[in-house]
Amino acid sequence: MQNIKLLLLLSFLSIYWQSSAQNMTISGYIEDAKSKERLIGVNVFIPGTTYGTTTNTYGFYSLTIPAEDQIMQVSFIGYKTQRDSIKYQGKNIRRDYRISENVEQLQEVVITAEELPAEQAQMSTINLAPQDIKNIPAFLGEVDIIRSLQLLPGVQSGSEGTTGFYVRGGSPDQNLILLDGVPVYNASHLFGFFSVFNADAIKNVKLTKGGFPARFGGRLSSVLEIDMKEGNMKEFHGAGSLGLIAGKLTLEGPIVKDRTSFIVSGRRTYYDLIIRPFLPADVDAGYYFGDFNAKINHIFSRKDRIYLSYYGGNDRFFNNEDYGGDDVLTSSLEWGNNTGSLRWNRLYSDKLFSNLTATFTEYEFRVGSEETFQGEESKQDYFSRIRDYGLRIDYEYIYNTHHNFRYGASYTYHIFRPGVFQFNGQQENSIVDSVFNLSDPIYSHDMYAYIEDDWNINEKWRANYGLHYSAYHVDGQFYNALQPRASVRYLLNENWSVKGSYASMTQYIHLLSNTGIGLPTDLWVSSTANVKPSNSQQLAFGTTRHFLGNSWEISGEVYYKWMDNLIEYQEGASFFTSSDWQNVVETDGLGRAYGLELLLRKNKGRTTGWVGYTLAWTNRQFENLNEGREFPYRYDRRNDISLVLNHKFSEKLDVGLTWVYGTGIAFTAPLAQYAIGGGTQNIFGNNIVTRYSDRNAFRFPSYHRLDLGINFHKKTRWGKRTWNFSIYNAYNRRNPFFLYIYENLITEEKEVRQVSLFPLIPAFSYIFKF
Amino acid sequence: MRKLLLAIPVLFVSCTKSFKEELPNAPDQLVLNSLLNAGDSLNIISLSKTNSFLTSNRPPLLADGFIEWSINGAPFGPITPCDSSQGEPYAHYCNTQALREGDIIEVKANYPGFEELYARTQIPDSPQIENIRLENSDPFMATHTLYFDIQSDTRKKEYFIVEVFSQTTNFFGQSLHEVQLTTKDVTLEMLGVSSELIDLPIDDPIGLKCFFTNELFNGSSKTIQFSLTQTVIGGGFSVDKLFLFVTKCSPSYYEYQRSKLLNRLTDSNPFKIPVQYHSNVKNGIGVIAGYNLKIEALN
Repeated sequence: MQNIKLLLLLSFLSIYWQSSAQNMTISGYIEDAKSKERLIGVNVFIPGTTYGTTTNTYGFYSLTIPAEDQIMQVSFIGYKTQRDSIKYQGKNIRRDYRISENVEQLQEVVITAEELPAEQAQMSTINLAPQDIKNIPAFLGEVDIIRSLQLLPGVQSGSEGTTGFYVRGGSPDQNLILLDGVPVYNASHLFGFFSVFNADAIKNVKLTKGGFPARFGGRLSSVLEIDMKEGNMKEFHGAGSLGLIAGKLTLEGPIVKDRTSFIVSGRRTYYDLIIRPFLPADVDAGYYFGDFNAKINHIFSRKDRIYLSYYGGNDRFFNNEDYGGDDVLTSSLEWGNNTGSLRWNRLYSDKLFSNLTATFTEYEFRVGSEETFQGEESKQDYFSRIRDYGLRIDYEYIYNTHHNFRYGASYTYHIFRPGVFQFNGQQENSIVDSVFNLSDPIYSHDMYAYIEDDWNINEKWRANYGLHYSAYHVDGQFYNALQPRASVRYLLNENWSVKGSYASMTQYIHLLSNTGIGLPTDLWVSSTANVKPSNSQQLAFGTTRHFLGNSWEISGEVYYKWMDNLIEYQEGASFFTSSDWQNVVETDGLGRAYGLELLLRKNKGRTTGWVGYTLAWTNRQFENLNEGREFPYRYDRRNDISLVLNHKFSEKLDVGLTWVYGTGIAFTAPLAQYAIGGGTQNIFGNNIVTRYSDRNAFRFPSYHRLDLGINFHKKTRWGKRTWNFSIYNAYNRRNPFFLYIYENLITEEKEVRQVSLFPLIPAFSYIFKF
Repeated sequence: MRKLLLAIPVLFVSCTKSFKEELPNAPDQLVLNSLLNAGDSLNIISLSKTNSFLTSNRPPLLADGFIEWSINGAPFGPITPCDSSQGEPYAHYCNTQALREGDIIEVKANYPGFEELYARTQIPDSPQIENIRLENSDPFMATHTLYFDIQSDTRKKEYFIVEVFSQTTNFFGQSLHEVQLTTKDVTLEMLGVSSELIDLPIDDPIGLKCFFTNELFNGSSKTIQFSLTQTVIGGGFSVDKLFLFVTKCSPSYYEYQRSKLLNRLTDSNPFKIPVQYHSNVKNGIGVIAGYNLKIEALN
């Protein structure tokens, strides 16, 4: 390992001495011509050469090419291609582009690509545009970003209907979910059935499963980048929908034309309002969730721009019981995230771009009750919370035709409150007001610095390599890790490449879950003096080939991932433990995940879609679990198939279909019953107990489901409207959600029963845009 | 809270169905059990067999097995079946050799058609308890506070379980009840099968049994403080006496008792990851485990 690090360091040093003479740099921003929204991942290249690049998260590009007259091409799927003649003027050139949507082509695309995947050095990445997500049949009329990601190879869903996702054998907490660069700790509404991201407010979604560039860190398994729209700089627009369970509205427009814009978006479920008339008069109970996104961006000058963005979301269950008279009991369960970021983009020169980001994020889970009974009042409140304050600086320096450097640093201050219980009570003779920390608050300092280079070695070879150094200070303990990263691509021909990557990752915060289904009660905790940071190393190899004029693509990847210092709850422990969480966790766990991912997709034409297949193994090993033997992870899914099809009959009508198949979820089966006790001790009367299988040794029945959707579009005087009809689980497959043991108390016969959640569910939504 | 969480799936449940046909068929295994206390002169080993999880029949008796054991390497056996199997789901084999502190017990069992079972344990020495004090800290609420010091040899890992029992009298006669304990010492693991324990957390850890090892000991002793609540001590009965039970355990005894309680604590959670009962029997299941129980009357 030391040798690899030394080699990487030498490589960095040596390339500084390469000559950049006789070159010129063209740089600028690329925007949507209508809205002036900056576009991510637009291809900028010189046709017939290997010179090319793509715009970054802020729509900026910089391309260094030989200093002579050139024809430059700007292309982006869904937009009209632009060609531009570049005259060499003896100096670097600033050139901004505004490109227009190609309306005829718009709905034919399923997956957008930064550039042809065969040309990138980075592997294991997937981009989704909002339009791609909206074409997939919706669940209960609500399109969902994470549910769409689950249809891609290497990304697996958890239990029936949930939006937790498992990337290459990793657990949900090993996914770094960034909303406008800010970590989101709990991405689920309604116990995981919906994600917190409102697709109407989202511009771009990118998932990285492996071969992580050095700029990413802090999680072992994936990075999901979600960028909110910026707001239309030219005109006021709106969009919204009314569905079976939720409604949403998005408004955007200029505050100062061409300089300042805003976007606000809100969503709320109305299940609680719909069912209220059907509840008995003395019952006041319900559930709702809501989201609010807002973003303002302002252009100070051609070189400076700021973005201020906020997300707030909340879920709430409530139940109020009226005992009669003044006596009442109110109880509630709620959880939610708040995130905010302030970003400052600065273009120092044609070659140097920077972004300074200040971030705030928190996730809080709260359960409480308040009771008034016969003149006595009492109030109980339990909460757990994680809150972060962060500052990050990122630079992108396009050194020459061959080298594109990124470097930067970050600092985050974490405050963990893993369990606080408050009690207030007033009785006839006394008042009690107490706060108990079940676990002491933990404060930690999380830092990293990185440098990476995207190295265009020659026509055939390209590499992305770098170093990520992270440090973590908690409880008087200092952890640090140097994490090398490298991806290499070799182009067999212009349509066919082979790639390899290595990434070492370290994670300092963990999610404790004793259900594995992603409940909000899962507890975010820090590494401490007793709980070490988790580490992973991943090797991946793959190939990508385009054919039939780039309208078809086939790709395959194999990967092997090792993980260490994983943590899990001890057997039988839970978040409502009566002890500090550190006393009820198993530490020093090992994990192994390996597999094969295949994807065949069609990107152009009236019919688009893909077939994805994953063959995977993922195991865990803890000294005190399963008698120390390695066992399958709960979501170890041997086979996983996704089929996604969209067909556009006309401008007014399109249909979509998805079919998924997955090996059943692993579970620990009751195998036999036997007698315990013996000797002279038999304190408990019931001494017949269950012998279970090895942990997760058996499988639920396989999971499969077909969803269908149809959209009717119509242009109106005020804009456009769409009626969407969808059917979830079209052939009414009874997929298992959980099992429980039912015992007939009279006959003493037992039965294992399977509970399924969703039968065939038709839904509709009305979508409008103006 | 727990009810609220479990109610959520009900909002969406489409159906339930029996999972019988998908359950694996496990081969039968022999089960060997004995919990061996220092000083006991009658030691009972039970031998039985697993049976199908779904059947209502009790696991079969195996009275025709062949069991032998050794104490500190000196063999004894075969141990013969004794007459206490009636109504029990296992056959008893009785041995009248008295067990002393430090004895190493090895047990072998054979039954036609199965591999030989083997298990080994050691009888721990007696727990050293000093300075026991019981204070009625709140006479109005009848809350008792119990203090005592416990000694350990910190050169090796030692395992302890502490419980308090109340001896009560009612018209049926005298009986013992486990008393709920609370403690401010969060390093102690408090476990117990009680519905209150899985409700909202309270100020101090609570349980019916307290588990700990001497990893917590500062030097060679540890002071332990518990509160004993009135509701459990009283409960409408006449409380005659309180007893402190301190058990020094072999590792297997400790793990077995923990796994038993953890299993029952998670029993009603459909999302639980089941807790396997601890077993130390090679080629079979069950537990052969030594312990040393010391009982002190508190009042």
